[in-house]
Amino acid sequence: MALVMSPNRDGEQESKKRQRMRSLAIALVLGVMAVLFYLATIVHLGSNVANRPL
Amino acid sequence: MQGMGGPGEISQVGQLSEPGVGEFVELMKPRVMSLVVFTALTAMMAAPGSIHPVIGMIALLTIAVGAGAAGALNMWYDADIDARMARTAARPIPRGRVTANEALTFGSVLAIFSILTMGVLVNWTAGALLALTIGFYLFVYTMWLKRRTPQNIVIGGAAGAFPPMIGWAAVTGSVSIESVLMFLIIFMWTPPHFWALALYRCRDYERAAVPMLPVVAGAKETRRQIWLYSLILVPLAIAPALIGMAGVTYGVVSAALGAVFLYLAWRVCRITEGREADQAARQLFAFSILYLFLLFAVLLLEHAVARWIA
Repeated sequence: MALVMSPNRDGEQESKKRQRMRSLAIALVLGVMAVLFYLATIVHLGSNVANRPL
Repeated sequence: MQGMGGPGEISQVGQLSEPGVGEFVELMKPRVMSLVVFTALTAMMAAPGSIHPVIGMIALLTIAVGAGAAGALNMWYDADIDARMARTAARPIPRGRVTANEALTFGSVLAIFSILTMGVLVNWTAGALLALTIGFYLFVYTMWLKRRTPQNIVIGGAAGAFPPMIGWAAVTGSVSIESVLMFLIIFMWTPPHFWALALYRCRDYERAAVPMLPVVAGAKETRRQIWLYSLILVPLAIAPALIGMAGVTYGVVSAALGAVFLYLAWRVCRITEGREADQAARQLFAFSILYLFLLFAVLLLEHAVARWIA
């Protein structure tokens, strides 16, 4: 027997898919920001990273 | 805030479903954003001194996000106008894909993040200029001028002219005559560009009750103003070659493009009736985009080549 999905259920699934994509996009943006802040910190510290007193 | 009865009040035609990533990207006006990033990149290349590539990339990214934030906040406030104009009726809020409150939250978060990131990671002069740009676009242009005066895009045009100053400040940490000159070029370019559009979209603006110059002062006066602003713009655009900020190539290209710009502006001024008049305005509008792009592209190339040789 073929499974027939109601339009309501389709809409719900579409909504969940969009929500999931948004969450992924937010996670990606936060990840990129963390990397950028890390890289910028290294650039600003420059050679001092290697020359710090032990 | 939307519910507080601001001019951006719009009857939401029932949200179809959860908004997707694409709708939020649309809120950021990607095409405007690309021109903003391009002019800022040119200024960064033209600025004396150097910037670490990572910091330079962060500066460009924050300028792009800041511009996107301003776009989203503009769409939040102008949702009612956008719904009444053919050119903007398909934007995410009038279409019911994103609620006005979502746009407000999205724009505000991006604005705060972009300004703080620019300030902390690049420098605070660039951060302050980015804050000024977003604030000017939202408070001065969108909220104050757009619905009140035909000078809306003249004064409001400053918001679109600031990005090269931000790019320049990201490298040098300061504002100088060269960056002000780039500001002035875009500032003087804005009125003929938008008034050419307004000439053939006059009914749209009229329906939305936006007091663009053709709606308030008529097509004849608009054509005169386009011509006057073009006369100021073209020599200004050649000026970088005269003050040593750009080379001979830029000077020649700028003069040639300026001649075409003046010719098209003159046609807009002279052809006042029928389809030909609309056609002349459309041609000037289309060429004005190419004009600004080519001016900055040549400036960018000249400085890129000079840096590569050095």
